Amino acid sequence: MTWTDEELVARSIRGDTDSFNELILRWERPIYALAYRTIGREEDARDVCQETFLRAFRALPGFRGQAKFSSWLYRIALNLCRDWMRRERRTPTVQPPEDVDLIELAAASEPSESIEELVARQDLSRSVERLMAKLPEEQRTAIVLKEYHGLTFQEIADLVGCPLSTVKTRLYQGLSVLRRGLAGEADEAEERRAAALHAVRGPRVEKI
Amino acid sequence: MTEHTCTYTGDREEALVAYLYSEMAAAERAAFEPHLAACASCRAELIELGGVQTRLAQWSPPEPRRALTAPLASDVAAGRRWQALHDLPLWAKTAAAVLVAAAAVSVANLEVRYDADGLAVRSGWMAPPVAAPRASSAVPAADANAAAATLADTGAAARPATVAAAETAAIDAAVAARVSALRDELRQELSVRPAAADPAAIPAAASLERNQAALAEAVRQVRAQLEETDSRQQRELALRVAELRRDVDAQRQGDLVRIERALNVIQNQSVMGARQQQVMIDSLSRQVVNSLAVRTGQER
Repeated sequence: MTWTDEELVARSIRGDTDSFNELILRWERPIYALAYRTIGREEDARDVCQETFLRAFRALPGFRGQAKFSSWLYRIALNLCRDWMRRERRTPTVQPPEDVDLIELAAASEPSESIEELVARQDLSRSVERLMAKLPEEQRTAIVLKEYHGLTFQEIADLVGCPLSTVKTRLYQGLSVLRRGLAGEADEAEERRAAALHAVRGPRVEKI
Repeated sequence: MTEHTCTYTGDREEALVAYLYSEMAAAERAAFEPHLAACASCRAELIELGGVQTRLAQWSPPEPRRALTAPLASDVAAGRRWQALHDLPLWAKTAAAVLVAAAAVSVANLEVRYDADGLAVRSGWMAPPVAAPRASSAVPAADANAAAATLADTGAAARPATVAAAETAAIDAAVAARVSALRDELRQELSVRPAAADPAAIPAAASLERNQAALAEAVRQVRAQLEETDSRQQRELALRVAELRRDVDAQRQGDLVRIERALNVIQNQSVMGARQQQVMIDSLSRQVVNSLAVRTGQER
């Protein structure tokens, strides 16, 4: 029996803790993902996630179903992220690649994937993370909400509090910056490969 | 890099994004699609933006190492959080949850040990020392103390918990009265024997047997008392333990979070004989430890 979010909310308001725990189970992953992609740090994203549900629980009696429960939850999370970033006064950081943890590596790999493929995939993911971290906050937020949470333009506009056309503009600008950054990285990688090859092969010997 | 020379009259950037995400109103699409068919520049840019989307799709947040949220319990509603649990590794978190539950239901002492062999969780009675009845010098002191202790710990450790205090108190009172009556009977039984000047005097075999039989009967009666008043709570708790068993057998980390939540329910099951609680907690601890041992073995 799967209750809708609204049904679970109603039961939670009436005092059913289990129902709210069910809502947590349902939404903690997306909220954590939103927080992580916005602020870039695993532990702080966990804290934001925790705090989001705490605040939601306390504010639940005031939630009258004027919006979707998830939208309401997202707004709480985004506000907390914004507060965090203001407080820390920093742009999101990227987790530095630590020494490879074989267990985590194995856990992340597809069954038929070789280690080389997996490492390459993680490299690509890290470069995306790096470039996203450099984007202005509002562009990054728009992209995260659109690409990873499937919100419509209007939902993003309502959530963030800006006009509809601004959402589209931010998306375009953010994606364009990413496009240029990714192309630049590809060029650099190509140059590095060429230089490495040259170092290995040595200068070409002229045939007499 | 592709150059973008385009003659679209509308807002080009917004149109590209709206088209990219298939969120274009019919009228706007009717205007834009013919342009797209004719404009290589716009087509090229759409393809490149699509490439960015593909790269974005590869970026996932790292798997959280610990449970994302602590369970919501009445203490959370009151404003306190299980802050201390957040920074523990998972196995310690579970052990701590068991400890919290045990403390709340007044089960004496859960011993948690962790070393090279892994996690061990045991419950043990620390029965308060019981003064041997004065007149019992004819009975070997060790037996009398042990027997009295057995009697004492079935009743003495059952303290009322927070929820349903009135109901708990009533049952505890009944149990305490019963235990008190049994103790009196025991004392009477022991005082019937002639008081020997020598404390080491060996009692008559018949008296000793009668004594032990009386004690066994007393314990049985106390247990029956507890069982008859606690059957409903036991059924509920058995249900919870069955649910927990399912969770403990599962593989995902998130299930340990559910264990915490269910343990939290045990915490609120206050109307329970202390010994029944001990049995349940023992069983639960073993299941949790086994599950953790299995999982640790797999992860190594």
